[in-house]
Amino acid sequence: MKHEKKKISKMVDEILTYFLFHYNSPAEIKVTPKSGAYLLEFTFSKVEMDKKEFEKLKNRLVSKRVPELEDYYWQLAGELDDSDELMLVAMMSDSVEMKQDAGQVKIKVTRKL
Amino acid sequence: MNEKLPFVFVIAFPVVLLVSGLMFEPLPVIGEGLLAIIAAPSVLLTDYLAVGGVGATLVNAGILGIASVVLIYGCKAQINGPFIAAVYTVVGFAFFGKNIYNVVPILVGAWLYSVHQGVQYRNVLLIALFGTTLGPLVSFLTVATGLAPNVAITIAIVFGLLAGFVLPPLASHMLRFHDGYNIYNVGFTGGITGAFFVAVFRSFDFEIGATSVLTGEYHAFFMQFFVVMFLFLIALSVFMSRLDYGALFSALRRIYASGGRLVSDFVQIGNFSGAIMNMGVMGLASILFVIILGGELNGPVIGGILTVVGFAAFGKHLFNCVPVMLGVVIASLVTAWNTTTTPVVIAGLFGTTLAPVAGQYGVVAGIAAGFFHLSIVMNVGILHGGVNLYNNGFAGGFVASFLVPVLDALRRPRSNRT
Repeated sequence: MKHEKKKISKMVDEILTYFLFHYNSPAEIKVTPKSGAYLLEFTFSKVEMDKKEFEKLKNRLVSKRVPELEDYYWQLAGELDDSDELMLVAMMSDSVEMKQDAGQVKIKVTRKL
Repeated sequence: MNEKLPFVFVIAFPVVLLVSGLMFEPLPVIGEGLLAIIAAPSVLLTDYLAVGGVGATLVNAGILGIASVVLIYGCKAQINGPFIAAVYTVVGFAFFGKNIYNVVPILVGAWLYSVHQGVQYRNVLLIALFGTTLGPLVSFLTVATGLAPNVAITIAIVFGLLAGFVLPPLASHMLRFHDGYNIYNVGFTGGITGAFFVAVFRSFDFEIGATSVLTGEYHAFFMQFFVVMFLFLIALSVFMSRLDYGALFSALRRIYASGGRLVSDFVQIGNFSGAIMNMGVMGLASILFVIILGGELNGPVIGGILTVVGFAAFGKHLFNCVPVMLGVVIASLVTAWNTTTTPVVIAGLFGTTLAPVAGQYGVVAGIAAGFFHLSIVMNVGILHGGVNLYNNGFAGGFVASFLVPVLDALRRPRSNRT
């Protein structure tokens, strides 16, 4: 698929921007190219997020991939200061796992090629 | 929810149009009407109700709508907000510019692009459906150049294929021009593409210009037809929610809280019944807007209403649309444009392409967007000579790209997390 690496960096951009803008969180990001997939792992620290907020965020991010939209709209990801396109990340992901623990939010995103 | 239910919902409307058309007039009259529609140059504003009659127009709209849904189903794409918007837009513009002949080369051109790129057709299908905005390019080259018919048809099909082929990469790229604040992005892309082609044609002495063929003869019929249809959508939404009003209002609240910037899929943000409720409400609001302005329901105005209804599943709701409509009305009252005329009425309806400006930056920004939109939309059509049916989407791209950076600079960034 075309622009694959750029799409990965846009997904990272969108999630990172969201946490920087809303929580100004220290972030660790690991991007692992695997055979047939990319694994994106995020750890955000010092995130003041209550359970309700976490569940809402999870609902926005956990969605199944929509190839018929991602090829068209992927360029919009990561373009705004307040990061409003988390739904796009969901549309570009095959699976998203999220965990919240002691002020840390961990997100694991898999995108198959 | 049954996976086939969204398809049944989306195909039901064009089926109703097709059956209504067949009941309206005898088959030979419909056949003649369809031929007249196909033989029309179809540039803006060509009301097919005036060209081919009501039976043929309804049949044309029904066939195009059904074909769109069959394509979506055949490509195994999901029926979501964007595809609901696409089907309703295709059906709406089948009242003034899209017909069973002029959309085919564009759809095939986009398919050729998908083959060239080695991707599935469904990946470009949304752009292909919206891309039929350039249908008049095919019609005009077929019937209005004065060339021998076989030469004209060949040239028309080649340019239609070319338009369909270039739209997918262009549409994706053009999003960055307005950052998703112009919902009719393919309208902006079609405008650029149309202007490009028309400039070349004009260099070869082919003059393309807008026209105005309109009829208000069927106003009363369509007023009743669409009021019933939109009330039915509201009732259907309540029925689908299984009378769980709490869940329905919760879905509507989530929809109303959305700014509407691309990509705001209300089926996903709310749910299916919430999106249908929003469609019904926006349909009635559009009808009310036309009545208040003293406009009549002709082909373009019906197209405008149906497009608003379709995009009520993909970015538009009362709170981000009304300010823009208000801005257009205010502009029409203080400028040279007459409020009751069809171009102003459709500028108000289609101007809601700028709904995300109101949704993101507030009511005043929305009114300003609508105000400027009227002036811009009345001036950009000349660039593409009316071959881009989504002229308001073309204008909206310029308005959004001008206003959004200014509004962004003036606004203090604030958190609106989840």
